[in-house]
Amino acid sequence: MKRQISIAIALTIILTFSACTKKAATPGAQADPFSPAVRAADDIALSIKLLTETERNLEMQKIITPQEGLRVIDGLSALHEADVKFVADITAARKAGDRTALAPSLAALRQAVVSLNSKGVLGIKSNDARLAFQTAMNSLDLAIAGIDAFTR
Amino acid sequence: MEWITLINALLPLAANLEPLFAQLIQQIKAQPGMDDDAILAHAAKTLDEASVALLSERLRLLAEIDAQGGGQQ
Repeated sequence: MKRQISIAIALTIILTFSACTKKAATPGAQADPFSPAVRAADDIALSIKLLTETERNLEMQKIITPQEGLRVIDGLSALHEADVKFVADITAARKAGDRTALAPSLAALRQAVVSLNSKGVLGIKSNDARLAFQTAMNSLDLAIAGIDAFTR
Repeated sequence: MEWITLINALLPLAANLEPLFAQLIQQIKAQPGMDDDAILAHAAKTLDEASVALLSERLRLLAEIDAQGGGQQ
């Protein structure tokens, strides 16, 4: 069970690091205003992949039930769809030079995180497994909130 | 920023705690060296891989639930 807590701690550290180090790719070059969104989209994509693996590990160890696992996968699938849309919208917004165009897909991302938490994570009976996922959800929300302001 | 110094020190710990996240750490540390087009392409590729993983896991769970005789828990 401590391994699941370590997973949550590791993901929190990593996503916090990523949120704190948003900067221009090329030193000295003019910062692309869309860079924070681009990096966040990439971080979220990898987080989805890793959380899917985490769910699989927990279910195969019988720490969570297959029904609980399926609800988490449903939530991750919705988050995945939202990030796919976000990536597409970033591409269009960069061409148009309009950051505000990202507001709807950012809102959809936050909603997907809320939904994953309420319909998937909160229903997990194992306290440690639930804590591990909730910590990861908080970190995801932090990553998204960190770029929310720049669309205004 | 002191936060970055602190978190930089903690990153190896995170990797040791959970080797599964070594890839994520490597990815995030590589980001400053990649331009935004490359990062977007990487995000799209990762989402494709995640899509396969999600579908595979969904099918596995459904098969397990079916083997149990279904039902909500």
